[in-house]
Amino acid sequence: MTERDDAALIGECLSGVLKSFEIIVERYQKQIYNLALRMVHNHDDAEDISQSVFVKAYENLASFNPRFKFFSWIYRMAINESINFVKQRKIGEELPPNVLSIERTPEDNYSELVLREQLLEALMKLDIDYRAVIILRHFEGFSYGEISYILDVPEKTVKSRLFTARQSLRDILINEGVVI
Amino acid sequence: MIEEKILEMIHKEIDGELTDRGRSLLGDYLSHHAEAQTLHRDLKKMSHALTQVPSEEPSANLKKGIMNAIALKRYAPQPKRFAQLFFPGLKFNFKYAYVFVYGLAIGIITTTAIVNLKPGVNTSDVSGSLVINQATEQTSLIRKIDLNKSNISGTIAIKTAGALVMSEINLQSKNQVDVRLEFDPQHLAFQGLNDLQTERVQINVESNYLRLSGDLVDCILAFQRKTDSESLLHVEVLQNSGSIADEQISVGVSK
Repeated sequence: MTERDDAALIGECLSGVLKSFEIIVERYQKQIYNLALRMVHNHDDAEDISQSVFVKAYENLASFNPRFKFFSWIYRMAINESINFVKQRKIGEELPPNVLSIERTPEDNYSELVLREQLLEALMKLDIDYRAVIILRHFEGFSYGEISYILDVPEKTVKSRLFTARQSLRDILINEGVVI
Repeated sequence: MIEEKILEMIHKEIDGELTDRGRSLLGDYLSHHAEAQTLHRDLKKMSHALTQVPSEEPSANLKKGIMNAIALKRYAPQPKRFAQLFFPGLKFNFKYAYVFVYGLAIGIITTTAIVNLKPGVNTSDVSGSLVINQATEQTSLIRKIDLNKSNISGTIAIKTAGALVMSEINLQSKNQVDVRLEFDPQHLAFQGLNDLQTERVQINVESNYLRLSGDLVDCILAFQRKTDSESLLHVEVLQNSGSIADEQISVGVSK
């Protein structure tokens, strides 16, 4: 049996088949949850954001433009929801360090693992707009064009934000005495 | 100091956007500039480390929570404007707004004229008490189903208060239990439910029935009577497809 594509599932959802939306949730819940997790650095908040994103996506399915990829559309909602969440709670200033720890895999080298944890902490000190581009580019692997659609800014802005974000991240690490 | 053009090339190289010629030019530059070389190495290492962060699994209840929230929203009634609570058929029309404003202006002018003509009232001469008649809707129990069999224990109580029909469910079971409430959407409308432990219960809401499945169902469901006619609420409790309780309860308006 071939996996039904997003457009077909959305069509079914719009005709009232809730089960089809469940397939969409299964397909994207991990990505949306991880995006929110990297943005807010807290498991419970990331789950709340994910739930809110999918509920909003369901309510606004009729406005989805099939010219775009569904996952870009839902990522756009997820990034906006996360940005709003961070702005409302000013979570960056309130979070204690090491809220999250990264699971270690057997092939991990200790120094790499430490660097990853330090990077995630430094990421939380970045301005939310810069954090968003880093996450979309490096965690999710989106192209400049896709990031431009998700953030609703020109590609040129994506590039300049990405360049500044990477350098700011490096500066934060250096100021904290991290050896990269 | 690293030139702006070189900085751009370094970032493009990290993103895989640099042409072969650009890469070769950058390589030449980096071999002669230690500062640019360090920056390039740091950014490259940092970017690599970011891509290596493993993704995490959301909790097993995330999907259930999402689907429950959607199920409840699907049939949740739209909030009414304040005026519509008193005049259900009322629709806002601008021409009535003008009539209202003229009426209000005339009313203010007339009242002012009358008040000014009346002799003054000394409030110290006024005595007595003001009684506000608070009419409250009484809650009455229609039917209580006690369950204590097949690993299921608890109660289902159906109550009414005016036009509201409430179903208070408190069931515990070692295995999954399904509570199904079927109603005629012509006479009853599902309004919502109070806090439910969504991680333990799966909700399914359709226009004419509601199903709650889980090992702990503890909530109050609210329905609104749409008509004054008598209506039936079909309450069914199931486990492993076997019926544990099955009752048709009349929730009509008591005369």
